[in-house]
Order: sequence, then C-alpha cells, then structure tokens
Amino acid sequence: MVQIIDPKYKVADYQAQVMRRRRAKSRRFQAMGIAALAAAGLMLAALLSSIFYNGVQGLFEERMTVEVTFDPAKIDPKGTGDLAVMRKFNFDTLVYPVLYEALDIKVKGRSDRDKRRKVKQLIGLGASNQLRTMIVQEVGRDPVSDEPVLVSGGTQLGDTVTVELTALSTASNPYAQPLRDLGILKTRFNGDFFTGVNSNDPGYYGILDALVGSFWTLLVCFLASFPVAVLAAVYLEEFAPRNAITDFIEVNINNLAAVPSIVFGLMGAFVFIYVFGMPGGTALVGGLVLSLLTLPTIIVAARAAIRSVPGSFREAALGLGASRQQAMWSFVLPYAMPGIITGTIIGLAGALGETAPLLFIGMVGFQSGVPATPLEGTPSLAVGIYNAFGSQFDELKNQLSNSTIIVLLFLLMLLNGTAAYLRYRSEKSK
Amino acid sequence: MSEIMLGSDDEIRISCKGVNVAYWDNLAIKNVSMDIPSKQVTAFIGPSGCGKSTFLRTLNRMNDTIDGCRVTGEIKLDGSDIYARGMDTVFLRQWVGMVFQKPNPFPKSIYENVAYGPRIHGLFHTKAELDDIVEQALHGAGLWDEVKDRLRDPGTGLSGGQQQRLCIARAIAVNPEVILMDEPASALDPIATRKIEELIHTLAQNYTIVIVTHSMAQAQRVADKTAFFYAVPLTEDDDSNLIEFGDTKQVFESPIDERTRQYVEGAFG
Ligand SMILES: Nc1ncnc2c1ncn2[C@@H]1O[C@H](COP(=O)(O)OP(=O)(O)OP(=O)(O)O)[C@@H](O)[C@H]1O
Ligand SMILES: [Mg+2]
Repeated sequence: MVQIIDPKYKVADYQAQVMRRRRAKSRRFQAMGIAALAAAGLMLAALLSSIFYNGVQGLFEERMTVEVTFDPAKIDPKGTGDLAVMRKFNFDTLVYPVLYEALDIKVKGRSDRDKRRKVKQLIGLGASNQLRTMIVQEVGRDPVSDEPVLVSGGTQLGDTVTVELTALSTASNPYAQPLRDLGILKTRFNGDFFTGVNSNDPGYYGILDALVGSFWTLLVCFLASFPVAVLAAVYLEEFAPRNAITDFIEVNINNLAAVPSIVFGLMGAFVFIYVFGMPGGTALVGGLVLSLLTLPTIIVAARAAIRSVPGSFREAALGLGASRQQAMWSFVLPYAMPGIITGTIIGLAGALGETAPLLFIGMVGFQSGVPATPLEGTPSLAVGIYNAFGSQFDELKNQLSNSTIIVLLFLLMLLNGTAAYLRYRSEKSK
Repeated sequence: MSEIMLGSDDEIRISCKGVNVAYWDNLAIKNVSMDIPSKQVTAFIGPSGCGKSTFLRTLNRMNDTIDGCRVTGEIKLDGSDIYARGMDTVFLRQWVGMVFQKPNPFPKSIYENVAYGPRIHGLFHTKAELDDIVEQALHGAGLWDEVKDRLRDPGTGLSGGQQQRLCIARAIAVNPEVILMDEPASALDPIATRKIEELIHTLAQNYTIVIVTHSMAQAQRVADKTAFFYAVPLTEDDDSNLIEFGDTKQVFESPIDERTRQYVEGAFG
C-alpha cells in the first residue's frame, strides 16, 4: 500500500484536542444563538403583553343598566313644555341619585362628597347625550332664524325607563366592583368597536371606516403595483438585454425599497394631489402612494420566483418552436406564480401597516362614515391606531388604540400566514 | 483529416460548411464541415467538453438564447441556410425537433404535453384532429399502450424512461424532419435505455436523427454514421475539431485517426 498522508497526523491526542475545541466552539455558538433568540422573544413578549393587556379591555365595554326617571321637576321646573329648555338640562344628573341609592351614599352633605365624585367619574359624556336624545332631538336649523329645529325624542317627561349606559374608567374605580355585584354594571363585548366609525367619544368609537378604508387602499395598491411589478420582473429576467441601462434600473429598484416611506408620502401629496388633482385623503391616493412601496418588494420576489423556474421547461418549449413570450406565459409564469403571490402578499402586509405616508396625504381623522368607494376620504387601520389614541392620554382611548393594533396584527398574521401556506404548498408540489 | 465524404448513395439533409461556435472568446467548435444523411441515425461521440452538445444545438439554433454564443459558417437544411437573415426559428424548430438529456415533460397532463406543439403551430382544426395527432405521436414513441388510459394524469408522474418517450412523442407531434437528441438515455436504466434505442431505430425510417452519446455500445447499436469530435485547443496540424466522420462500422473498426482509435477502444474519455 502506498503511504499518502504521513501517519503522524493521525496521533490520537491531537485528534481529541481538535474535537474538543470544535465541540466547545459549536457549544459557544449555540449558546449565543439561544441567547439572541431569548432576547428577541422577551422583547416580543413585552410588546405583545402590553398590547393585549390594554387591547383586550378595549374589545369589551362596561355597561350600566339603570332605571332613570325623567323627573319634570328637574328637567323643566317651570313647566314651560319648551324643548329648548329641556335640551339645556344635564341629563347625567338623573343617573347619579340612582347609583348613590344603590351604593348607600348620602345624596347631600360633606361626608360623602369624595364618594359622590368617584361615582360621577363612571358616567361618560356620551351618557348625557344618550338620555337627552330620548327627550329632545335636533333635526336641523331654521333657515331664517338659524335656531335649531327640535322634535320630541319619543319619551315623555315623568316616564321611567330602563337604559343602558357606557361606564368609563371602571378598572380604577372603587365602586365598579360593588356595582357589578349589584348587577348594575356588566361587561359586554364591544360591538360598537367593529360596527362604529371614528369618533371623539371613546364610548362610541369604532373601526369599520378604517377597516373598509384599508381594504380600498390595499385594493388600489394591488391593482396599481401587481401588474406593473410582474411585467417589469418578466421583462428584466427574460427579455432585457444585459447592459448599463438595465444594470442601472436594477440597482435603483433596490434603492427604491430602501427609501423611507414618508418620502413617498410627500411625493404622493405633491404628484397625485397637487399636480394631478386627485382628491386628498382618499384610498385612491393612499393606494397609489403605497404601491410605490410594494412595487420593489414584488419585483424582487417575482424575479427570484421566475429565476427559480427550471430552465428545462423553457428549453423544451423553445425546442418545440415556441417563442420566448409563449414559453413565458404558458410555463414560466404559471410555475413562478406561487412565489410571486407570496411576495405580493408580503408587500401588501407591509403596506397595511404603513402610517407616515398616509398622514402626509391627508388620510387622517375623518368622521364621515364608512367609505363606499376609494374616492371618499377615509382613515386606514394603521392611521386608526393614531386616531383612537387622540391628542391626550385617556385610559379608554389607550385601550381602543391597542384594540385597533390587535385587529391590525390579526390581519397581518392572516396575510403572512397565507403567504407561508402558499410557499409551503408550492414547495411540496415541486 | 481534411475532407469528410459520405457515400454517394446517401441523400443529404443537413450540410455544414466551416462552422465555428464560440462562447464569448472561447472557441468550442472549430471549422466543422459535415453532411448529415437523411433518414439515418448520426451519432456524435467524443470526450466530455469537446463541443458535441454545442454543435448539436447549432442545428436548430437553440444556442441563440445563450448569452455570448456566436455561430459562424454555413448550415443548410435541405439547401436553405438556417442562419440566414429571414429564417424564423419557430419555423426551423418545427422542422428540427429536440429531445434533451434529462426528461423534461411540462408540469401538465400527458395529453397536454403532446398537444402543446401542435397547438402553438396550429396544426389542426378540430379537437378530433388533435386527439388523432396525440394518439399517433404516442404510438410513434411506443408509449400509447402504457398511457392510453391516463392521458389526463400529469406527465411528471411517469417513470424516467416513460417521461423520455413522452418527450420524444412531444417532439414528433409537430411532424419534424429532423430530431436532435442529446444523450437521451444517459439518465435511464438499461431496460429503459434499450427501449429508447429500439425506438430510435424505428424512428429512423421516417426521420433524420442526430444523437449525442457517451456510450460506445449505444453508438454502435443505433448509429449508421458516427462523428468523432475532439476538444479545442487542437494540435497544430488540426484545422477542425471534427476528427473523423464516417460509417459507424468503419469508425469503430478501422479508425483513421489515432485519437479516434484510442477513444473508441476506451483509452480515454
Ligand atoms: N453556456 C455556455 N457558456 C459558456 N461556455 C459553454 C457553455 N456551454 C458550453 N460551454 C463550453 O463549450 C465547450 C463545449 O461544451 P459542450 O457542452 O458542447 O461539450 P460536450 O461535448 O457536450 O460535453 P459533455 O459530453 O460533457 O456533454 C466546453 O468547454 C464548455 O465549457
Ligand atoms: Mg453535452
């Protein structure tokens, strides 16, 4: 037998030493990896628990069921019967005595003043409005005198009615629990949150307009970016000559992906609204601006997907006399489609979370209801997070803001999950 | 070897004169002149990298799509220059079909695999005619009996040998004159290989076949004519990398060039 490698390189303890060092190295590397994962996991857990702690509360609402007597002596003490007089009354004062009585709090006097203040904090601005509309409603203004035109709300003075009111700040209020025990205060699913629209009153705030607005925005974004991106990717991969110009375009597509989104907002405000005169704050403009962001994502994903199509299909089709376009449409694109769709979904998920550029083009705090078309002013879900929070801190608004985040995260997970599923399925079928 | 002649009784289908093929600056085929006879099997043999595939692909211009590939010289199919300005590759490839080394059926049904060519060339008027073409092509490729009950199943679900015969059926479905095959059996087991070889034999009654192979036995079994290539760079007295071309029996039994003799005896390759 011919000696190829000197036997001294086979010394047992040399080998053992190498093995020991190698194992220590891989253990160190593993430990580092686990530590990094743990750190990321902790941060994620902190973020999610804060969002869910507040957000879940926003998905429920505290409702108080009370029997209210519309006492004429209080609402219209002089017995005028004038709706304008009744309208000025603070209807929430009808609720307080009922609660004081239930809680054994004295209606008058110094001793229970603090207790009464605490109870009052449970009743929101909305409660007074809600009771008022039962007695008197404004249906318009007189064209001559500009006085409000008032009609009866249906309930008569002297009636006793059971009403449901939104309770506020129940988490920190000492009387929340006693009222719950009495069956007056109940926790209920906050249906308004999904059926209502943007409102300054947190008791009535909802995200339906933002949800629909986001849908229109993503639809416009998809329609504007998908065909363009796929055609660009097909052209660059299959037909473009390799030269300085295509290299330049390629570099700039990647640059486009790195531009901060707010820049697109400013550009969109100028180009689409100022130059082209499109209606500001609409899903149309929002979707077009966001399509600039999704475009590079889809192009990059589509090119990778097209490149991964086995060359043998193309070759076989060309060998049969197909033109390059025919090979493209009948084999390459269908085969690449799952990959392209995955990239598109990821791009749209990114667009769903974009806020800054939308604020720039005026998709802010609309209170005009659910947009029926992409041509109406609308907030988006991400903007809704900001809207719900409002300009100053409020416990309920904070909760609603977090609830909106939960909905957004849920949709993002749905989108990304679909993308992951498609990728998994197309990998399995290959 | 300077002049390579065919027997006078052979009808010539493809005639090549002074063909050079380069990838960027590397010459892969140098000054090849040869006549490929009609309705016979011509085998290309030679060591790996000598340009067999490259030359085969020039015969239906499949090199057109490769970056940096340049072809010079003259290749005539039935007297007309296939690299002429007005030549349509779509038209050419209907005339000169191709079967690749690795079976590459489309990810579609068996039927659709065969029907694709006739569809893009518009070779039929009615569905019945297309059915007819598909059946004839599958018969021609010796596959009909095996697949007639599952024409709608995916072509990729067949065995390797069946897939390769499906690719042959796909190639003959457009009614070509010439079929180019680049190592069509190299990915198959001996039994499947035998079937392909028998098929090639039968097909040669109707088609002109050019086959690249690494198997000396296969060349001897299927080929009427054999061409031996040798890689560029060449020694100074070689003006071409087609070293020897003639009847298969002659090339294998009494080769003229020393390198051919060594190669066919298995001394290198
Ligand atoms: N697409 C390409 N780009 C650049 N060079 C290439 C390309 N294809 C082939 N070549 C070169 O051309 C020469 C001939 O290659 P070719 O594939 O024709 O050889 P071959 O005889 O078919 O070899 P094998 O028997 O291994 O298939 C080789 O040197 C190869 O490196
Ligand atoms: Mg080859």
